[in-house]
Amino acid sequence: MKFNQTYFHDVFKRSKWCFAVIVSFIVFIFFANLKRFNASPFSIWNVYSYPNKKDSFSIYSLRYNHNKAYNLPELWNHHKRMMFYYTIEWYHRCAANNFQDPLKQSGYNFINKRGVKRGWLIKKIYNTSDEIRSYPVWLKKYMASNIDEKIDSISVYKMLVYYTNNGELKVAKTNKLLSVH
Amino acid sequence: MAIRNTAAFRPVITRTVVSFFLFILLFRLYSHVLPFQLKGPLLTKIDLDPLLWLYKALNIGEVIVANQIASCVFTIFLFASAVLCFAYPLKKLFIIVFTILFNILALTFNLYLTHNTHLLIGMSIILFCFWPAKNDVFELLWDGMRYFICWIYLSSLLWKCINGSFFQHDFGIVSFKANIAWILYENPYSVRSAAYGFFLHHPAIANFGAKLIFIAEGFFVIGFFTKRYDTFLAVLIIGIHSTLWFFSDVLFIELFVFVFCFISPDTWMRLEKNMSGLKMLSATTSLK
Repeated sequence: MKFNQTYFHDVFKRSKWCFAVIVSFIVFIFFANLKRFNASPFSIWNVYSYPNKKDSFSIYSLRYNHNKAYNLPELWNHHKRMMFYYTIEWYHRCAANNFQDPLKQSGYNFINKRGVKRGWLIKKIYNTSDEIRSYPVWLKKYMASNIDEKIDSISVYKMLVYYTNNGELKVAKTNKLLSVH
Repeated sequence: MAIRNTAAFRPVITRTVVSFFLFILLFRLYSHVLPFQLKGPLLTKIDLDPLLWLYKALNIGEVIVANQIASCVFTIFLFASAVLCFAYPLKKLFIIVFTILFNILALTFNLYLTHNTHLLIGMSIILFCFWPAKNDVFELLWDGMRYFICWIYLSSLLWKCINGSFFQHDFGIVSFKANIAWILYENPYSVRSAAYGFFLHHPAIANFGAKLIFIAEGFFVIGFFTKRYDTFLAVLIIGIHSTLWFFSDVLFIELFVFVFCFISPDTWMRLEKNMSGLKMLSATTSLK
């Protein structure tokens, strides 16, 4: 294929600034991929790219109003359950880290390395201990509107599960992560 | 490869894409994930992401998430700008406002979801194709977006080769087990769990299926050399994400927006004719 038959040739011929924008975009994407710099909105498309060798898996289960399960498996409810399943995992990581944001240190190092002293920025960007501790109360409030029911209490459990040789799911361990009344 | 002649169909392309955006926004309204429905969350997650740093530094979250009135106003503006883009597909101002608001929505969602998902990225980027005033430049960007989508899927396969999941023989079944565990736990006797039981008993099929999906992503390389198989690639996009939903419980419905970039000018022409036919019909009916 000759250059004068390519997309780039046509773009260059028809609009120089458009050509410049597209080339800049490609260069940015190239370096972002090279440096594995996963930034919005030019994320690297590497979902499911790392090997997964686990034998046991963690799942979260939310119970409300006397052990009623939060259970919306339907296709159309996929996004409805997202806020719970993603945030609980992050809350658990923060809580396990003594209610400190686990990413704070790497952000601090990144800024410091570049000779910028921006303590206020770090404080603004990362979760404070109080913000992390306020999560259970927020979750209760959010779940009430999510399922459109009055909620008196919620509890969240983390289960470590595994599969038997005949494909049966078994619970190895259950931990109560939080409870709000 | 010649650039497709889509400039003439810009209004119908804009309207179709914006209709999809409106559908997604309504779906998010139903799903309780629009900013005003989040009940003022405080927990966020930010890695080394300059745009999210800027978002936090400018206190955008405190305005459109924590403040209920501002949050409602933001949502109204978001929907209104989308409707205006549909009504006036060639008005640059409306599409620019909608792009900015939608990008803020995408950042907000990822920030408070505490996970940098890829759900809204495709939609965030595609809107920039509609920014140029000249239809001729729109045509160039629209074709460029098509190549970028080919790159997205191809790079997805390349990352799997680089990071190693492609070479893990049992990746399919391990990943499947991890993602469906909660469904089996909460719904052990459902039809879906019974279907999953089949694949748990036949792990080779799940492993083979995962490899097929990886290879399907690789097929997008042909998009760089010919446009003859664009319909096939559009079907692949739907197929890949539908399969992912069933086996991984991840619904990337927002990425279906990519399908529009693989529609041929002939199809857009037919759609435009049908739309103008409908318009004429409704005008005649109202005259009667």
